[in-house]
Amino acid sequence: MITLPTLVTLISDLLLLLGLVFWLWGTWPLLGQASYLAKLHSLSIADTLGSALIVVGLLLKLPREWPLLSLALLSLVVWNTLFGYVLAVCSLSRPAADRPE
Amino acid sequence: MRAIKLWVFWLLTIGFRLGIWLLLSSDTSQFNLFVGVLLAVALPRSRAIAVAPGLVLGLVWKVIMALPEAYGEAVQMLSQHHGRERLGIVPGSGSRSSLVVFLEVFLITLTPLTIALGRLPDGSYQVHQLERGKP
Repeated sequence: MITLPTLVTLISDLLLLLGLVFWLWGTWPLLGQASYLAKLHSLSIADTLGSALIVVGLLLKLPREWPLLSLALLSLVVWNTLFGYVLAVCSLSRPAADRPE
Repeated sequence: MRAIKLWVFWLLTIGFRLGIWLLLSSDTSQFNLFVGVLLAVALPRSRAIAVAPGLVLGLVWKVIMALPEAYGEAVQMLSQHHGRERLGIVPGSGSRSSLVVFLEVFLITLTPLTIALGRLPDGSYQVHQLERGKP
């Protein structure tokens, strides 16, 4: 019979593992031949979605730290997503806004 | 009407700042609440163009709803090779408010198959998309 604490530990371990898989899977293409922007797509899986899974896993493990962990979750998701956007825009020779309609 | 919009928007800003303050300090005592409200009010008001609070809240809701979609796309990318790249256009609300543009860019870039590349003069966004298949 599985008790609730065991189930929570199991789910949090699963989330941490899944986050690690996302991280490795998203970071590996950086070494490959894909284009810069294609690499950014897979990096957003690692950075944003993988990190979020890891923090949610930690949240289940350390529920009393929820204020700091949820702040970390929010900043990680916002920062990584926006950083991806900034890197993508920086790769353009001319930003979209400057182009004639 | 404009005054009410500004008021609601201001209240939302105060609420957001107070929320961050409470999370940072993880202390909900009366004194800390008082300091938080004081800080939230004292910080400079953004000079962003007044925007309908409904538009902002709607976009925040869309961002929350996009999270499961983002994970769905991640699983798609994990299971199938997405090697084809193309440029596309995603329509925007047309608002010039920096907050709305921020949220719209965030919404597009959050999902791993699309990355915003900038706002076009007509208010839509140029995006870089990945699709299934070989390059």
